[in-house]
Amino acid sequence: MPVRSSTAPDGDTDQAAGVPLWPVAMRLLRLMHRNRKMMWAAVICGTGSAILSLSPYLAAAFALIALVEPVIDWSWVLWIGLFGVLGVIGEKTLFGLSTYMSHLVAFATQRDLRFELAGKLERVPLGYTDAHSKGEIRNTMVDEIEVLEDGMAHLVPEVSAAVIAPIISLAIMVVIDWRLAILMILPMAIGLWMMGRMMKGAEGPTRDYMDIQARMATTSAEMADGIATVRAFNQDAQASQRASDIFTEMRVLSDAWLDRAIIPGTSAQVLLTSHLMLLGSVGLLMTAAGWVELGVFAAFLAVAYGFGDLFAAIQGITHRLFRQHELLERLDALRLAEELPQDTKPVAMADASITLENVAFSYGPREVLHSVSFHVPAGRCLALVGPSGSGKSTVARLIGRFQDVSRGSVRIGGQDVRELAPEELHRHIAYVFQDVFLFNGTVAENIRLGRADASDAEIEAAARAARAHDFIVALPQGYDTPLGEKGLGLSGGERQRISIARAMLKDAPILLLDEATAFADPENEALIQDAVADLAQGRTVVVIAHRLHTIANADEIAVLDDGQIVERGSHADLIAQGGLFARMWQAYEHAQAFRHTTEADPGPGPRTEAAE
Amino acid sequence: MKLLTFIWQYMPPKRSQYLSALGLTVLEGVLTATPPLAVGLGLMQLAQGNTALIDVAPYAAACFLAVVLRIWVIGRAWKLGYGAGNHASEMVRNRIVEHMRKVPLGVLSGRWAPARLAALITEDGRWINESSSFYLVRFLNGVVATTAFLFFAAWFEPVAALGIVLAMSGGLCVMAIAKPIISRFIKYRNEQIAEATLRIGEYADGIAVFRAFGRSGDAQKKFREAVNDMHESNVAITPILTPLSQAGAALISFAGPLVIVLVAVLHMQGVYSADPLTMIPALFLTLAAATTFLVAVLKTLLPLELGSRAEVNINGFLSSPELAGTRTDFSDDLSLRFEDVGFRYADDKPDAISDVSFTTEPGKVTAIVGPSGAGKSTLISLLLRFHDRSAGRIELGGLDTMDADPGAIQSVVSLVSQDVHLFRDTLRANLLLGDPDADEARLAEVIEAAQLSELVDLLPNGLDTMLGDTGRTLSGGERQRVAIARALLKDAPVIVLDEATSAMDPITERAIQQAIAALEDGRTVIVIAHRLRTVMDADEIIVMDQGRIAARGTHDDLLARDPLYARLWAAQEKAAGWRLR
Repeated sequence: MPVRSSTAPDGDTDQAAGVPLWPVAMRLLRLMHRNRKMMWAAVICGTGSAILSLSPYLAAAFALIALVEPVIDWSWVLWIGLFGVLGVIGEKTLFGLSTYMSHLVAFATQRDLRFELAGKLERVPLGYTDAHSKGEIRNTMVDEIEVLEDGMAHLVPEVSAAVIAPIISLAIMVVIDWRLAILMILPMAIGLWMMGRMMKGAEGPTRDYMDIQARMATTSAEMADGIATVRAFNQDAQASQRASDIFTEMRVLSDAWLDRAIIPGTSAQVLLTSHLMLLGSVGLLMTAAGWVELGVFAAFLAVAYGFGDLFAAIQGITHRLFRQHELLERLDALRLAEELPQDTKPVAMADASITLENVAFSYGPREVLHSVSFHVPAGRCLALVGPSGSGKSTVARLIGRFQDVSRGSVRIGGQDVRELAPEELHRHIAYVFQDVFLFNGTVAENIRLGRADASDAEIEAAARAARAHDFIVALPQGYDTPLGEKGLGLSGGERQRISIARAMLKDAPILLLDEATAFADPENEALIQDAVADLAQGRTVVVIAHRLHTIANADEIAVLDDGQIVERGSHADLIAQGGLFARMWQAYEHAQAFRHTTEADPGPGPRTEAAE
Repeated sequence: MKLLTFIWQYMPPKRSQYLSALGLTVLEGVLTATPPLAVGLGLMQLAQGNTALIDVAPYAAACFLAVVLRIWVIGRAWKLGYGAGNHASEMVRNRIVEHMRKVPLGVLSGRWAPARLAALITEDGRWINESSSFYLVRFLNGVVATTAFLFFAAWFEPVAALGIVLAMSGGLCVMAIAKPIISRFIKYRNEQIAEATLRIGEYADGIAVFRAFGRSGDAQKKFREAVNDMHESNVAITPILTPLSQAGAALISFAGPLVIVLVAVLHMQGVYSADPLTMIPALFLTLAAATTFLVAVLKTLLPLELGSRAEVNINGFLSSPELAGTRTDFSDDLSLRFEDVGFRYADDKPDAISDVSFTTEPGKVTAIVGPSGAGKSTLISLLLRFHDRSAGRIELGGLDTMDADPGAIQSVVSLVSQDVHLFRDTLRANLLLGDPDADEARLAEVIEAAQLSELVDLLPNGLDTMLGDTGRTLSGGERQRVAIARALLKDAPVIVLDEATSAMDPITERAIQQAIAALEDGRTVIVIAHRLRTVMDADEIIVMDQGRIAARGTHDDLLARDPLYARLWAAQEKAAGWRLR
């Protein structure tokens, strides 16, 4: 029986076999190290509880001995019963205490781990969140640490109970009569041996079964994701047939697994739980033959019941430890992530100029920027343009040191960004990116992110400059309206303006601007543009542009293609060069002239021109 | 029980097989009870003294043979029971998929989002399987064995049975009383945790931004508060929750000692004298009953409850209404008519749109414009029956869409929006979704028209390159063009376009426009436009505002007489002339 319960639900017993469990347990214990006193107290209580858990069986054993005596001492029997009751009370109390304490340890460890990871997130490169989605980090910080509770809070008392009690009862039984002990153990040993053999024979079907489970999960997810699309094309019959085929295959393989892995295992299962098989039958005969005393035999039987289902318990624990192992691995991925080297000697920036010199950057083995150099003098504006994936955003992120360059250098005011304290660097740069993060808090608090000590008047001034004041006062509670996950949802254009207000308030000499790629409605867009124009006044600006006309007046335009600057110059220069920018500009003009119509080819220009 | 009825529904051809499995399980339960009983009887025999080997031989044999027989029975029972369970789960899963094809598509983006449905099929489906076969069988076995122990214990010594019943009913009572209290505490704790989780998650989401503003200190402080709050509520509730949840099972362990105490007290008080001889098997059976009850009955209650929960989840989905309508006889002109149409997403929500009336004509372009949240997309979702309207009438080709077969509507209308779902399959298979029977020549033609030739040439295996997370991922612009190619293959006479709101580089944008132009050619077009310029030449422009039609007409009309349109247009023109410096 335990085989089914421990493999089928999560289907990873065969993997579990490959994981050394002792190290997992050790890692869990190490995590709890800071609270080791209480943890050991939990272990001691757990052990005590395990010992006392034998009391009903011992009580029954003594009672049976007393009852087969020719003259029964009833008050002795009463004492035995009362001791049994007391023992059980003690067992439950100690078990409760042990569980309670191990929970306290678990909770404290969870708290420490969360603090540790939060500290870690302060030190990894800002770009860590690029490679690891927010969902992933949130999942680690919130859910995965939550599941560790099982490992820490339950395994300690339960392992003590499941392992210690049977060992003690076995020892008692050997002392009572070693022959009977062998008789009791024998069917279990045979069951264990059969189980081992069967597991080998069942490897194939088990693997097939695990495979089909994984495949069914994938197919179901795909089916659910795609159902709207296939229905739009009336291909849902085909898709559901595919799902149905998998379900059938699932049944067939599950039946096969049943035949070859589960059914043969049942004999072993029965043997593992049949301690009476030989003990009962042979024991009766031995007692009748006078080889064993009746009282001894009866007492032995009672204690044998306390041996319990050791193997089931161990299997269950093995399985759960394996799950903990997976969690620990994932936690370690974050705990051991590489940190941004920090060199915090105070250095002064000469001005707000930006210089990139032969900058290269790689994501893993893939180099996405190769030898990019440019210089933006203080107060000037550089526009980055290029097809998607050409490396524009990466350049902006390297300036803000979201990542460190793999070659070359990024300098601000003549100082390499790697030599600046991160706070110092961030104080000089304001970002307006497309993806606006609003946290739980009021509108005012969200804007105040730009500068902690800003007064209400300053916040309103920033909001006015960001063209956000009007919509904010129209909100139910004006500047005190809660935003964020539990608060009010704002439209994309409104969020953009909040982020501009933050940047206004921050008043940094350098502005990194990722022009919104999503079209807000025209009125929102006009407001955003006005706000951005004000924000850009007098600052050094690096802008990632998608709508080419907006940067016609930029001091310099750098055209990126495949991680390299392929052209640079003013708008007029680049048009005159007739290269990539000129082609983009032409496509851009044509795109502006596009009209929806049901008549043939509406657009100016030959149809294939853009596909070059 | 509801769980059993539910499974029974999906069992038909295997019902007798399942019943035999249950029958064998009852037998197995009896066999489980046999060895302790036989040993008990044997002990009794021995206690009478002067026992010959032959006297206990039957008991010894029964004890041994019951195990042998049980090995045989359990194999049969499991094979039959699991086989039937596997069958039922397959049927349940098929039923879920069948239902997915028939509910309004709007349902699939709301409460029954893809991830939830996938979990329903795999996770809940698995619980149905587990509980219908393994846990139910095991539970039955436990109940039978426990009852047998109890019965024989009562037969040997009523006081023993009394002790067992006291311990068990005490345990069950405590569990019943504790259950609502526990769930109240758990609910309270979950609320606390959810609240703290939100705050912790926010830190994880926003850390990059906080750091970029040099404000990670504040964020860290709030984070620590949240973590501390969570810790405190955990610590406050555990001391109550732990004993409460263990108390019920704990009482069972008292059965053995309790029986001993009862017998002794009754004897010493002279109320009742138990026969020491029958006490031997009775005490023995008491231990067996307590252990079996704990392991096979109480411990299977939780998984069975999970099975019931899965049943509730699955039934919740299966009971959501399916789309009705079977007619397919659209008239040839396929004009679309909205008549006083109103819609709300839920009864307690305000109207998303109301009193919307307009008509489109074949071969013409109708544009829908307006600020975000005006109800533009809702109109489209009603036309395609992602939701069914709450008021008014929508006619397509002379048929009320509510009477029309939802599939038939899909086959005359193509929706092209910026949400493009690609399957983990080859590019070819993804395109052929539009028309599985298209030949190579047609495919090549469509690829050309949808401006995909360049992409196909670049892909390592051309059309046979795998897409999706294991294969090549396509950019937004490429996905758009795949969607257009599918629509070209599908060749429906009505095109509904939801213009992409995300800007791409100009070359990509231009390519998409050319693909769209090819698609629009000669068809009826309804377009939700974000850039007013692109619909300047539309035959009719419908201006939506706050769920209603604010104005309609041609571009020149509207510019002249509708202030909202004029304002939007002016804003757009201003934006178009904007320079960063």
